[in-house]
Amino acid sequence: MSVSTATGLVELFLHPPLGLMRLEPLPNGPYAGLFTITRPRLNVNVDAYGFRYLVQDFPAGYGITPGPGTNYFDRTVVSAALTHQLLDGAIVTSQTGRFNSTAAYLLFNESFPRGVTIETAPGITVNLWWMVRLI
Amino acid sequence: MPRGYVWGVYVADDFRARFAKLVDADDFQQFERGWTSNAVDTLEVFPQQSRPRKVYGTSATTGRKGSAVIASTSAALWNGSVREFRIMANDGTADVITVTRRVGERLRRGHL
Repeated sequence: MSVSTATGLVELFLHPPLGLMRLEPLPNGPYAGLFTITRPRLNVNVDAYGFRYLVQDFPAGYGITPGPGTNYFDRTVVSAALTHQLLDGAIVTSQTGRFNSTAAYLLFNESFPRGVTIETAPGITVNLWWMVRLI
Repeated sequence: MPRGYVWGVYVADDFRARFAKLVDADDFQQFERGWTSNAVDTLEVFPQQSRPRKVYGTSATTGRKGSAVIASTSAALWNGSVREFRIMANDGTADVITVTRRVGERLRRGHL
C-alpha cells in the first residue's frame, strides 16, 4: 500500500472527523446477549473507526428517563470491550465502554482492533452500525 | 380528599407476581400511578427489603423534589404518557412534580 503524503498516512490510522464518516449497518440484527463482531479486510480484523448502537427493544420494567438527543436507562444496557493482538500474539483488552443510553457510539482509541465484544443487558436488543470512511 | 392508607395491587415487572402494598389513600386515587384494588386481599404483602419501581422529579414552581411508587409497568407515569404527578408537601400544600427519572424495581424474593 502506498500513500502520497504524510497526511494520507495519518489518515490511515486515525479516524476522520465525524462529518466525514458514514454508518454501515451490520447484517442479521438485532443483536442480543454476548457476542463479538468483526469487519475483516486483508490482514485487518476490524476495518472500521468505531461502532454505533441503537436499542431496539427493552423490558417494560427498565426505568427510562427522557433526555436531550437520547434517553437514559436506570442501568447499564450495553457493555463493549475492544481487543488488540500484540506483536507477540498476546491479546489484550484495550478499551471498554459501558452505556446506559438508548443510542451511542464508540470510536476506537487505537486502530484496527482484533474484535469488538459487546454484551447487552437481559431483554435488550440492539441494532449496530460500523463507523467507516465516507467513500 | 381521603385520609390514611389503603391496600393496593403492585404488579411485578414480569406481570405474573402480584403483591399487596400499603399505599397513601391520596396517591391511590391518582390513576397515573397505576394502583388497583382487585382481589388485593388474596395477595401476599410486598416482600421486605425489596424496592418498588419509582419515578422521581422536581416541582417546576417550587423546586421541591418528589417521588412516586408506580404500581405497574403499564401505568401512565411509567410509560411516559403522563409526566406529572401530585404530592402533598410537608407544609400541607399540594405540589405538581414533573418526572425527571425512572428507576426500576428490585425484588429480594424469588418468584415465578
